[in-house]
Amino acid sequence: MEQNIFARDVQTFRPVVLALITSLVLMVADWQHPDWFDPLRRVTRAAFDPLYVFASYPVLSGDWLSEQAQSEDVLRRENSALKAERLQNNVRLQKFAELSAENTRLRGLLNTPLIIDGRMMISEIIGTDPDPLRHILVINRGQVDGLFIGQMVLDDKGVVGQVLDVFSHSARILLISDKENAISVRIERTGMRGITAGTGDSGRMNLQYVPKTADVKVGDRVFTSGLGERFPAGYPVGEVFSIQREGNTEFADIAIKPFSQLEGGHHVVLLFSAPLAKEQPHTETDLKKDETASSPSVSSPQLGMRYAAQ
Amino acid sequence: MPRNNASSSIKDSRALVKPDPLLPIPISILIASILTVYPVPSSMSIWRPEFMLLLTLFWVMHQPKWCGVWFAFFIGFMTDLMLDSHLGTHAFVFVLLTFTARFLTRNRRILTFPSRWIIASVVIFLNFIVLFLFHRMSGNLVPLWFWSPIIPSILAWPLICILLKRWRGA
Repeated sequence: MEQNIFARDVQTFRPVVLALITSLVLMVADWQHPDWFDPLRRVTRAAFDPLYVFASYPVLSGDWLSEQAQSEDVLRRENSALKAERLQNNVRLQKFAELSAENTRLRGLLNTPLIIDGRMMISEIIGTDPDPLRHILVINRGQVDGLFIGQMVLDDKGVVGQVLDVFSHSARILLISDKENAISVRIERTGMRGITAGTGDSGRMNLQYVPKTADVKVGDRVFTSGLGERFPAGYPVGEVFSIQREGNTEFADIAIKPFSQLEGGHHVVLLFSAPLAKEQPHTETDLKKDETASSPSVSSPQLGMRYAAQ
Repeated sequence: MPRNNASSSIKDSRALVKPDPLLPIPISILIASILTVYPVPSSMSIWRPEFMLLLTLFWVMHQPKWCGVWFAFFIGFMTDLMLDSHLGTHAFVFVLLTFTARFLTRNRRILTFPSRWIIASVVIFLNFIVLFLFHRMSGNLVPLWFWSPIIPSILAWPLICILLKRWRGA
């Protein structure tokens, strides 16, 4: 009897073909209209939200244990080192305050909005995406902390990425090295604008569509330009480490090494500033535009102030 | 001949005694999905066995009355959602592999553990070949470590068989 059922199952191709066709239809549907399945994906991700939070406990408790186990001597040494570092930072900040004031004055002359740093929030990395092909991190802050999609994520060295999905107690971050991520950048030395795209390799990004004759050198530092209207301008992204001008395309192959610790970091910083994308190294045409339509440039500093006040 | 009959009737009675896999199937799926998405460092996650595929194979091979092609489709669909891959990719692959596994076992009356292991290994290998083709067709570059879960998956098969021994069924 059982053998019979088994044998019959093998010989019926119909369910197999039907299931294969269904999955092909699904593939085409997802390819053409990915947004149809967004609610389903969100439900799945939200269902795994408690799992990520649970998985973060061993990591957090490990940190706690190592903190508890440190001897007083080590703590004293660390304390004095931190004090020295703080002193240095304060000295630098004095200079920075002066520069910031000068910048404000100059921007006032140019009639452009101010760059105001918003509130920051430190968050812990509690996981990575199950698919190693994607460069996605999971952090332990979510909707309850006020995170929003597209928010900029930094670490102490530079830009890390942007918030991709927000759940109640966790969020997913798309790293700048993911092959689906691109940032608009500016080269510090020359002010040249460009687009940096991830390659899927966490130690390398590409500066795209730069002509072979462009003035780019190894060691040039690259900052966000704010032109993408997603990231605020002026945060460090990486450094040019190789330029290849050979090949038969008209663009140079420029590799950038990210400053931020994309693989090794434990903490990231979430920036709560409105994407003040409009402040740019202004060209003459931009200036004219600003004169004609000055209302947005007035409203955005207020927006920044509001976030800073929070 | 009568002896044969006797032994088969004993087997039948044993099969009747075996518990229904109605509850273990969803529970095992839940555990496998947790193992699939549990966050580990990326250096370790490239060695993560394909738990969902192994589970599908186990149920399809051991409980053919309960788990068929649509079971494989459902698990594949779940895997797609969890791994954020193109919807339908894993569903397609799992259905295809279920069919392959059944095709390879079609004429065998008695399946020993090693023969099942070999069939599972072949199917796991096929899984990666088909997924590789899908990746290439969608224009993704596939790094070398894409193939690294093959060995852990093959080694994890006996483990799953031992853990789910009670519900080995037919």
